[in-house]
Amino acid sequence: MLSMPIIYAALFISTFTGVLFLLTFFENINRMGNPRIRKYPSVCIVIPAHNEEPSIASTIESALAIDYPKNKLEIYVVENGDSKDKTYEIAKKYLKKGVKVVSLKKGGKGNAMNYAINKTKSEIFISMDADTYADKDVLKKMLGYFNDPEVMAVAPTMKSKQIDNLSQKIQNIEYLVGAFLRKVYHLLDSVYVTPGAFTAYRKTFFDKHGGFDTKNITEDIEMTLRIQSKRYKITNAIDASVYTITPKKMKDLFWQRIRWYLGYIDAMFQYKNILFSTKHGYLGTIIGPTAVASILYMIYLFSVMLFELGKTLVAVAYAEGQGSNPLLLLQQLKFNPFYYSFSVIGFIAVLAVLMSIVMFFMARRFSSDKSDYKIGYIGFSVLYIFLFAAWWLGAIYYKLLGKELRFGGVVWRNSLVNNFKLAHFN
Amino acid sequence: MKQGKSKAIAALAITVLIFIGGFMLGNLSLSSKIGAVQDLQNEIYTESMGFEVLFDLAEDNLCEEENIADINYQLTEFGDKLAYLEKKDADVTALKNQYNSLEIKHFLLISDINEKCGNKYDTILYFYGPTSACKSCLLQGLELSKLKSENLDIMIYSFDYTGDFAPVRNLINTYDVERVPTLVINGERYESFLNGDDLRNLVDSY
Repeated sequence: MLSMPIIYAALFISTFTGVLFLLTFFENINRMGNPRIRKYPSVCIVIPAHNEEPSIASTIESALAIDYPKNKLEIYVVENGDSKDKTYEIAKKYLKKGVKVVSLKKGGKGNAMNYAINKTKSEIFISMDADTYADKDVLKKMLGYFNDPEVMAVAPTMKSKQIDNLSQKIQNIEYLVGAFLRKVYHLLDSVYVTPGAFTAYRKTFFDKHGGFDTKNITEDIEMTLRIQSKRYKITNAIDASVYTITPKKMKDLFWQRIRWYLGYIDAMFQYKNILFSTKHGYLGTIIGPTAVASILYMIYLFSVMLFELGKTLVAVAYAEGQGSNPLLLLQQLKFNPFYYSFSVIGFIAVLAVLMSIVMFFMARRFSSDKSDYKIGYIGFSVLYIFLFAAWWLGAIYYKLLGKELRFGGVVWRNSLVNNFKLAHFN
Repeated sequence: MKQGKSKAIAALAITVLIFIGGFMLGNLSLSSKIGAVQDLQNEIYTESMGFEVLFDLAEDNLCEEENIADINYQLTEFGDKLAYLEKKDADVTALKNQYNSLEIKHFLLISDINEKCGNKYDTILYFYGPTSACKSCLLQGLELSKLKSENLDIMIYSFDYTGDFAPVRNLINTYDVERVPTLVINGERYESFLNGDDLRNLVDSY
């Protein structure tokens, strides 16, 4: 089960990417500052909202509080899909503050954003989730990147708004590690994930290449890869902080990830030409392929762990069946240093842990994170591999055999079994 | 990509160096352990020789000699360390043969002492196989280690049934061992797994 060639290959790839990321980061450590805005572009922030009564008011307040010339900033709230609560009524209270409030019958975040894209004349378009809060200086930090005409999107650093239980503490660490990676991907011109909760786009890209895909469950991922496929740039302002409310319950987190990962898989199929393409630089040759490899490796490692656990349980049952004390099996763990030798696997594992610690603290330093990270970090180190593998196995299951899933206003029927039925039986 | 190619090459070079360094340190660590086991083997060999000479010189006094039993404990440690190195894919065939020779020598010495001094020690010969072929061998080994730790006067000798070392094959033929695990407790053969209680009862009944 534990195949050494697979382990060595995975260790080599992960060490290589880890070294590459750290080299890239430290090579640019004195250039982490964001470019100054040369000429303030006009900005449209759109907040799509469906049943967001508890958070909509504070999100609008947060958008209004952003430090940016008021004559250059327009804010849309697009209530979509007939909210059952008071989202629309609460939003309308902000009409007098200049917020444009619209109610659409059609559901789906993509529809809401496309509505605003068609209405606005602003140069920069920002989608902001209705449970998201931005720091006041977020636009001043992000928008200088648009000085470069090749830049089509700029991502901030996403952080957790509430860090109450273990699930949220683990996600807090995950977001911080993600902040480091996004900055490195920016430096390697390979950003393939931008936060759907708050990303700035150059509006001319939509004019030229169309708006959001309304049938896509992760229209943000599709848009990111669409920009990459046209070989434009996507950048990241690591110190521009935006806060989102992360799922508290494991079940909600699971379904959020099923949506994200199914979105990734669909987007990967759609933009498969990027993978292994030298035209797309690091993204095509290293970042994309290693991201796919790391998912497979994590699933493999997860299966090995389950297999070993199963073996231990069988050994315990066997020992009991033979009238032996199962605790006897613990005697295999020896406390003599002779039985612990230096191995390349252990060496690389220690190195990987050290590299991930450096990445984490760099992300904390450059995103000015002040959250209490200790318990979250331990939880992340111990549990993340299991969560990550379980989410991916769930997503792969639905991709292969799933019937129909509903996320917000979008229905997903894109499993291989459904596509096969459509192609052959209709 | 052009400007960044050198960075990828540098990362690749560092990774290769890390791996080469890791493998070299790993081999170094393993050879130092093989060296330590060789030292242990020499120590056991010298002591064992000493007792043989003592046996020839003063047969009667040997009944009072307590240290002979200690060698069996050292042999157990030697065997455990060899098994660990074998698992690490180290070539320890020669050491394993020497280990088996020492075990057989000690067993013969103890058998002589038992004859002359009235069954002073219990003896167990344990024939095992690889865990892939012998489901219960791992557990049997652990039960025997526990028994030894409870009573140092029980002499336990382990032999790999699949090995081709002539003295071991001879022992296998002498006791008609056809399957694993097989235990020969005080000369009596048992061809199945024996748990702690079974072992203690059999040893006590002798």
